[in-house]
Amino acid sequence: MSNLCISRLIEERNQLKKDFIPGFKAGPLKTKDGNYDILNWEAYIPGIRGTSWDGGIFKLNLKFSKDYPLKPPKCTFNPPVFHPNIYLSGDVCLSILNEYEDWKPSISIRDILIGIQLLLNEPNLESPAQHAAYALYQENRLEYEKRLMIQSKNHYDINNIPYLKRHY
Amino acid sequence: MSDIDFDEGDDDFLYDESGEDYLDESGEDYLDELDFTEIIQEKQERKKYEVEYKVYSIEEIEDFQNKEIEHVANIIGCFKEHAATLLRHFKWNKERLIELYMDRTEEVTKEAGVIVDAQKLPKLIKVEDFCCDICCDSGDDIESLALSCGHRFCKDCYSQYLTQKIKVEGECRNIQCPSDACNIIVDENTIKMLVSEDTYHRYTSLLIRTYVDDNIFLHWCPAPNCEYAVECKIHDSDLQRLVPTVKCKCGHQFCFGCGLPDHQPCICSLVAKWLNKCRDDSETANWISVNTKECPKCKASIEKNGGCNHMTCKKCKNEFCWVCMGPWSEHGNQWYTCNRFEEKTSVDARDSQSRSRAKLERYLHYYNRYANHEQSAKLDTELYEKTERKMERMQKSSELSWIEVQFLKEAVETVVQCRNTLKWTYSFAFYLQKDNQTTLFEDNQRDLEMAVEQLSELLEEEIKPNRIAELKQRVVDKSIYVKHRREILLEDTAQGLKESRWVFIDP
Repeated sequence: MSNLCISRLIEERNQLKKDFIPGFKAGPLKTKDGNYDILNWEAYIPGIRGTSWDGGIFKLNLKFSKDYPLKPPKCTFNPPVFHPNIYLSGDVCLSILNEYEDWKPSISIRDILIGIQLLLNEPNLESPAQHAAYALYQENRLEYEKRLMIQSKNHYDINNIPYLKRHY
Repeated sequence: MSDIDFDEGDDDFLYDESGEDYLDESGEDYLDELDFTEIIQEKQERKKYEVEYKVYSIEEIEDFQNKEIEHVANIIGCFKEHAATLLRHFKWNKERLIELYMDRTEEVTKEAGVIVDAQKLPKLIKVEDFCCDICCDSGDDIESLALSCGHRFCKDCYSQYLTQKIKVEGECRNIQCPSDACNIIVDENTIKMLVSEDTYHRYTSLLIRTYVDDNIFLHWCPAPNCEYAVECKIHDSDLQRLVPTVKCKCGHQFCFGCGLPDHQPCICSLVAKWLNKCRDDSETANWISVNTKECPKCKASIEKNGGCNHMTCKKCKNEFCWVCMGPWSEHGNQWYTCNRFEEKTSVDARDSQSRSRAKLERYLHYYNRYANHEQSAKLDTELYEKTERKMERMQKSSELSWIEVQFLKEAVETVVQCRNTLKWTYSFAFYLQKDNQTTLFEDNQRDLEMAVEQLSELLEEEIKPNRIAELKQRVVDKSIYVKHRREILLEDTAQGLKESRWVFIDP
């Protein structure tokens, strides 16, 4: 089981290195002793250009279990993001990330990251996970977008994330 | 009961899809002689309060499924595996499946996750330049498999994926191709090819379980470790008019409608209500309302335990008159001439108190008798053990054989069964409106109860060797009588339900 998990994650990493997604960054975290912790990844997701998310860079943790890719990774925004489908803990509520819904072993990390980027601007109002964001979206769209723009502005100063500089 | 009225009214709630098991005046001619006599016999055996049902073993269910699958595969002209997926998608409603399939083939197959035009069943093969999307392994030498959708994965990944779905998630008829957003269902043959024997066994038993769960006319026998399923063509709406008691091959007798142990003659909805009432501590509240009054100031419940009407609330020290509930200070020394007693509010309070008391007494009347029979039925287990010892003694002390002393065992069984019936007649009677019909019901109930008590007494009688034959005669005679009384009561109640003769109230 864990053989599949590790070989697949290594392959995913190679694929992302070879064929990176512009504006994104993803890879396993390093442990204290300098080795890679292949089960814990960190990713940076940029907001889509021309939306209220534009300019923001959002840090996401991906935690893989030994059962990956039979089970999806757990994806958590750190710090949490103001969005109807993101729990206050930062956990992302998305059908392709749910093993009992649309998760399939053939979904790649690349698919997940792009899927989450799309979710940011297209919330799914059928399954709200954060009441404040959901309520504001329903009651005052203008205020909601305003709040997002402030969030995007405050979420990550590009200069602090050196490897992202080259994309901007 | 006469045999003549058996053919009438009995069938309106039961039907057989083939339509040939029943006869009415117009339908006789399509039945041949042989069928006819069989039917008559069957009809005579079935009492008014009994329903038609069948008990199936897992093997029989599998056989039936295989026949249905074959039939559909022949009609559509596809693989059996695909016919099975279609049938499962339609919850085994074959007629609906065929009708919709003929109408909108593409839509139906897409929804069910099948490609029926497939020429070949999935096979493990080696493909040149193959790369598995799950483990990312590539090469020419990897065994891989694709469903009719063409999404190809290696054997190891496929089998791990299937094992996870079956063993961990308990999924069976809805295991899809591992490819993103593809809803093609993995067929049984492919699963058998890819997973261990143990996992495949789990898969087939899950399939059977969902089959029974999906079919409203099939229920598992609720007895522990029993693997039989019972089929009974009863709709939920029929449950107001009959009590579908069935007996599994394992011996457990239960109600098909609600799954509870046999509760003739009381209908399911009343049983649920009654059990809820007995469980609910609302009756405690009822007792409080009858036996206590609230302190007019702090609303604490107070039970009067002495003769004096000068009450002092222990909680708030408020002093008041138990009779008129007014403050004691206004009474002085003359509480016994309390003039407010006859005031309208006091009269109302008194009336509501006595109504509530009568209601409680009525409930307790039925509950005590219900509980008594339940308790006695439990004691019958002990009685049965005693009886067994008695039988051994009898065998030793007399010329009687084992078979001949069986009458005691049978008599105990009769008593247990009748006590169970009696128990539920009290719950039934609790919800019954008092009218002439009820009197008839109560007469039947009384006759049965009396006979059961007599039989019960006989069973506890001391056995004297020289009088065994005489005792046997008395026990057998009484058992027959008791059974007969039970039948009369159940037949009449069942008939009443069918005719909507009983009026139920919500006391």
